[in-house]
Amino acid sequence: MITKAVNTGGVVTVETVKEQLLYELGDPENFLTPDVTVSLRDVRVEQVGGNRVSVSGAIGSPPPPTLKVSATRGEGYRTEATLVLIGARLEEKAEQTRSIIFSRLADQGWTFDNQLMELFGPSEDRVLIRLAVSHDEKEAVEAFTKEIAPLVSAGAQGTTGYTGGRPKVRPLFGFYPEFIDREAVVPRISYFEAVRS
Amino acid sequence: MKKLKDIAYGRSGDKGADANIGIIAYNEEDYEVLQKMLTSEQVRAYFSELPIERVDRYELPNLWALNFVLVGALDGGGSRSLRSDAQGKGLAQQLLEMSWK
Repeated sequence: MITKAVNTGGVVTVETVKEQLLYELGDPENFLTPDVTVSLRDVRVEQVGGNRVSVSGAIGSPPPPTLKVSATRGEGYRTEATLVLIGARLEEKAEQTRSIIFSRLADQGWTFDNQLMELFGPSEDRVLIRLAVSHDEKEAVEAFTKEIAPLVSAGAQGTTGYTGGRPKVRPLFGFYPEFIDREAVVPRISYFEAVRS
Repeated sequence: MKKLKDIAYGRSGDKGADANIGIIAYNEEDYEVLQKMLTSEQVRAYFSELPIERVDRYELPNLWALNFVLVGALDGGGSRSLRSDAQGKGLAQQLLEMSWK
């Protein structure tokens, strides 16, 4: 039975429960968890009252012989910056802005194989541009972050929206989900006595 | 012009470097239409700008739902991708805007 506490927001309906069942789902007949393999094939979802939905018919079978390991590895650095461009010929301005940034970085010896510019808009007379980069070298990404603010005064006319300060350089992680034999994992639980202050 | 959102709703998210899109019909008749008409190939073509390796399609007739797994769609996944929707949260909303006869 799915329901919710009184005097709280949200809504529990057949629609919201079905959405949640499908959220981040792979093969619905073999939903793997550490404790059980679930088949959602014959699941029934019924509204049985206001904000009350019954979910039945999920079939469990033994869990897989493996466990999932979410391995990550540091693979460089990343950042992203946004700017607003105002005026006309906004796509051209955006392209010009990108080319100014990367040609100045090239002058400093940095080239970026991983870069992405997304345009949001244009709406009426303005567009939001989002530039994201990643690089093996932290220094390269730092150099990129220093090329954004100068565009407001020395880039294309009508470049603005630089309000959040210099973008932060963040580590970039590669994500490697893998399976390991569950026998290789020995769970250990430690209890700690709560200390009354 | 009718759109997919006129007969269905949905939810999407990430599974590592893959994305999934659940599309759920509002009623059984529309599910039967979806089940016949909404193919993996269509979904893949609709998101032609994503680096999709293949689309796996699963049917959940009890829920009047289809689940699409877009293998490789997230370009390395949430922690690696430079895209603004690195976790594929908006993909269902995009797909629901598809024209539908």
